[in-house]
Amino acid sequence: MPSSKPALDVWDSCCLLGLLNDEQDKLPALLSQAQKFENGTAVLGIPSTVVSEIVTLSDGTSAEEKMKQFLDNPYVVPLQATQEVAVMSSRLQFRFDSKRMPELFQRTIRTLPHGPITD
Amino acid sequence: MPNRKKARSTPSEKLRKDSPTLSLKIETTDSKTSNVNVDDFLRTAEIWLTALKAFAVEQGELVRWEIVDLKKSSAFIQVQPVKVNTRRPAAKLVKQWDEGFRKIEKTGRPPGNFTSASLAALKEFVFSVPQNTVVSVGNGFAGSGSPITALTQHRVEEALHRRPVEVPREYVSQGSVRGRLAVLDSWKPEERSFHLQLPLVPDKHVKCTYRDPALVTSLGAGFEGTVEITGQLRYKPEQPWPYAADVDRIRVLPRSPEVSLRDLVGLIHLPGNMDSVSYIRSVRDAE
Repeated sequence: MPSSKPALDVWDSCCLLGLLNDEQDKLPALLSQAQKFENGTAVLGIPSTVVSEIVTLSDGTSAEEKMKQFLDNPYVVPLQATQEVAVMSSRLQFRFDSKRMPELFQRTIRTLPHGPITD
Repeated sequence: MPNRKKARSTPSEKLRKDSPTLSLKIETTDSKTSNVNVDDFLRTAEIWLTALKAFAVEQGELVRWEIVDLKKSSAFIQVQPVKVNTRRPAAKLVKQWDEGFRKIEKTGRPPGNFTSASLAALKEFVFSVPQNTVVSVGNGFAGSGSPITALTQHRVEEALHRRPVEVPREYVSQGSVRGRLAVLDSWKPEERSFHLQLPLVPDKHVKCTYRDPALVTSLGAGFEGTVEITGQLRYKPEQPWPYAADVDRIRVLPRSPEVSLRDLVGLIHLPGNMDSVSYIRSVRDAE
């Protein structure tokens, strides 16, 4: 492990599932990170909840063993929901609650650098 | 010709009109001019509003502050908090603020609902009175305004000192963390310990202590490699990574993992040919 701090790339469920499901709109970008993970310039943060959403392989068997073997890669950093993370999450949900701030969605879209996403 | 007929106010407008408000007034003491400097007014009003907002947040009220009255001649602004979801005035919030402020002014004691954050914002306001002005705060009723004086400032400071600073505490959580087994510190039976170097904070080591002598084997196998420790992890406030751990288990990660990132491609087919985004929505929102 290098003594300098590597970059942290966090993948959400859609990233990991997109790779597993061979989704062509995501695959090149996701695989382009692999080299950085392998040479130690970046680590892959996987929130523990993401793992719980990978359940069954295409042959009908459990995804558990494959995922455990993948998670053993030294560049994988499992991200745990500690008390600090949970409290921060609650604070942010309260602060940016779209139910109480219906204008939030439109305001967020206005701040996007390339304008609204139109798919 | 414009229609000069006076519009009848709706019930909700009437409710707002009858609800309590808070006011801020700035008067100049400069004998050469009777007008208040607009910068002074806007700056003071902003700091006052910040103090009101800090108080509202501490009370758990999600409100927006609306202008009820604004008079140029006397540099006077009157505001009212309105609940965002119901659009009704938050009268209780106004009462709590007004009573609390008056209690502080009179006694220098902080009311229970004024936290350190509210008091700090209030202090910022009372110490921001522009030169050659008199700043008064009131509750919207005639004659309710009281000027911010040196005594007010002293009382607010006194109240802030009386409110103990809420120091966030360290906490302990059962969990796992992985890193490089960097330093084997001590083999003494009463204080077995080692240092773990976390990938994202390589300069801050986690001091790990353990009691089970059987873990020594894992330490030997994992030295200079990556290990995952499980146990009681100790966190400092607002730090995402532990600074110490009481270790129950050590798992040495394989130096050559069997499954790489590329090996995962195409291992699953999501039901109904859904893509990952639709699938996650269906799982989480039960669509």
